[in-house]
Amino acid sequence: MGDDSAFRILGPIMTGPSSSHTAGAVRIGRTARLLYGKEPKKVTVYFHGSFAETWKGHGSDKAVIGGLLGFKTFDERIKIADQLAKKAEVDIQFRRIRLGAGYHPNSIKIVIEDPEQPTEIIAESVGGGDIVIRKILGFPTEITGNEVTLILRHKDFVGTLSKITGVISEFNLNIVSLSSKDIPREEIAMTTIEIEEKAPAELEAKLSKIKGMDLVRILPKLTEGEEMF
Amino acid sequence: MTIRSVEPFILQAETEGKSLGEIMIEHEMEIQEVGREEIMSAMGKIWKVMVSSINNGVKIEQRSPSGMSGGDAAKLLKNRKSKSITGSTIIKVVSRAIGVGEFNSSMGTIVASPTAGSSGVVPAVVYTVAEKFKASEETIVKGLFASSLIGLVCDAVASTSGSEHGCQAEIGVSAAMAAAAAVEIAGGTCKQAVNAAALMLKNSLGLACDPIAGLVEVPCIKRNGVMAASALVSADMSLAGIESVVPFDDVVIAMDEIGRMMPCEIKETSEGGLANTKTGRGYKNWLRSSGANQLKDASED
Repeated sequence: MGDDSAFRILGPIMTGPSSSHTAGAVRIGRTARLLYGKEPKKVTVYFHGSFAETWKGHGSDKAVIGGLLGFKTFDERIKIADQLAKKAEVDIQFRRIRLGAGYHPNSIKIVIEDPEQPTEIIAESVGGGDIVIRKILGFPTEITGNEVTLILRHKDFVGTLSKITGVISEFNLNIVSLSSKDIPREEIAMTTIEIEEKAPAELEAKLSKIKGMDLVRILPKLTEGEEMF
Repeated sequence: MTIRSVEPFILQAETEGKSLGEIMIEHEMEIQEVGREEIMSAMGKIWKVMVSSINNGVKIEQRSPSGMSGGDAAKLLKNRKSKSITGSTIIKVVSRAIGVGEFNSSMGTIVASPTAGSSGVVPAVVYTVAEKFKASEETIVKGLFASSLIGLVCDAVASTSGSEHGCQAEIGVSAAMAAAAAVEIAGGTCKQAVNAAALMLKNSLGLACDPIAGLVEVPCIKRNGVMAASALVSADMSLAGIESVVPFDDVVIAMDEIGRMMPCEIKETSEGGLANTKTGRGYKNWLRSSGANQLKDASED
């Protein structure tokens, strides 16, 4: 947006009261939904640290529910997200949890219960509405949503990474960062790639065709839809 | 380029015979590389959300989940005709600012200006001055742009975060921005607008950020109201020709120095000040235990 823009001072448009406990919580819920790929039916949300203590005063529960329903941080429906979830028959339970000292005091774990497509994330709300996704399905990650992010889970075959980057270069996309971690005994790896531009529609299908690929998700930028121009 | 001083803008306004708001619109067009219409309509969108937050806020009747806030804006408006000491303009601006604060704490959609905790002052002041002068939307948008220069300089030189520089950096900056906007809408010059901001910011130096239980409610919401009234007073002083002896840029440097000297107990940590009073600790303990007790532990499943 530019350091000197008036809209950096008069903005963002957001749902109150707190950027870290409300806006950040919306974004964490929304990220879980985007990873799952559709509206979940049964979800358990675990509040860690400060969230477990102050969630009520900050409306963090409604914020996460709003995110799980696909809302953005400025959506006026966040206030009544719990009622909307009930109406849509989305079952969302809240629990408190101690994730351990390695996690930021404002952390949330979300488990979407679906035997066919289990989805699980742990994310931190680090201030000003910014978040970091620390774990996806048990794999450590460092996703901030500052860029469009590809999330790929695949068999750990030789040459898979080069096939992935090959597809990305076919679409003429610029890679900002790439990280790949594997679980040696299970021969499964999680690769996350940040790209500079919006992902074209065919990218997902093409990546899915790579041998051994079992999950392809494309997360838009966190601030997508909030642009002033 | 980061804007660290108001002086080049005052100089440009005086040379070209333009208002502060006009200069800031031209500046925004330059950095966004888009036309005037887009710039005006983007700020128009911001204004629409501000107006809706005022209209919703002054209607709130129920208390917040913590029980510490809610319904005070409506209370003040109701009382204005019978027993008001200060009169209609002040009562209206205060209740509007409190209303936005209450709307924010009840999960309403607001514009951070510059932050969520201080989001009531700029909308309330701009709305009230525009109403008084029957200003067009174009003038209102200019007022908002005028306020942005004040916020940008404070942010670049000092901070606009309570956790860094205390409440002076949030409510103090919002009130200084609002004072500049008020002068712009009332037809004052760039120099008068910046001077109003200097008078306002000077009188908020050293304000602690000590919210009870870490919630954006006490003292934040009512402080939005009181500071909105002060912003109008600062604007009136400047329009009357009263000058701040210390110019705006220097006041911001002072705010930065004071902010650095402030202990962390009064920088949004809720460890000192109002948060650490018997009342403050009482709310904190009650809220924390009731929040945690309402959640089953993960291991209990």
